[in-house]
Amino acid sequence: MADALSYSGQRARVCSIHPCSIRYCRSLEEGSFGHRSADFLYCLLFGMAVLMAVAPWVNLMFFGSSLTFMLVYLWGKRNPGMQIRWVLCHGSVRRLSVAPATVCAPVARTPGLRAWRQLIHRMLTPSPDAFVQPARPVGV
Amino acid sequence: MPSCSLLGLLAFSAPYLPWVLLGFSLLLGHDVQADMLGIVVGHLYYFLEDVLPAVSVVRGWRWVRRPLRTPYLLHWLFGTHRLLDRQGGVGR
Repeated sequence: MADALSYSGQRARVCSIHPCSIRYCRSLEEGSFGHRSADFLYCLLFGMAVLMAVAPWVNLMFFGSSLTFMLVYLWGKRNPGMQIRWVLCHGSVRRLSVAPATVCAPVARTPGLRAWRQLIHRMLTPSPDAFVQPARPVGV
Repeated sequence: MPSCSLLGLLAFSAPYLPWVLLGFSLLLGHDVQADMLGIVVGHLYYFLEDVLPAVSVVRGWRWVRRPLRTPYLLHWLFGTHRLLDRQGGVGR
């Protein structure tokens, strides 16, 4: 199920509209969902749930591109004043699909995980105290 | 974007972007089922999250204030539940 949602299929790779869409998804996440990671995750969960609910009636293998399209639609609705030029992305066809990236992005920003990362970083690097020479007694 | 080329100088506003992408897929002969599904789900979320709460405030509907309110558990997971408590339990 996670596979079906995270993989967008051959079409996205051939079509290469995907990298452009990722940009708008990121813009949505940092714009109207800025500092509201929980809401963004809930939005994604809602999208996944609805897609999985309609999956039996749709002749589709993977729903990654649908999820991307949902976010692009939402971004468009929330930024109605934005003007876009006719831009076609080509080259740089990435194998990455958007679902893991967008799911991981808000997670990477949570304060809890940052604390964990700092803790691991501190464990791996020697503490500055190790470099400080012990104070010599006065007069020696 | 590392490589973006301009097709023309015509500009359109952001809400039309999904439809333009849909047109592209149609033009290139791909299956538009996934795109249509994405648009439908996106509109569903937009309606439930942006339109319905605003309408319910205007009409005074108490029971549909915000159908897609994020569960407290998620706020707790992301560490934003204190902010939520300060606002009196109302999201946003």
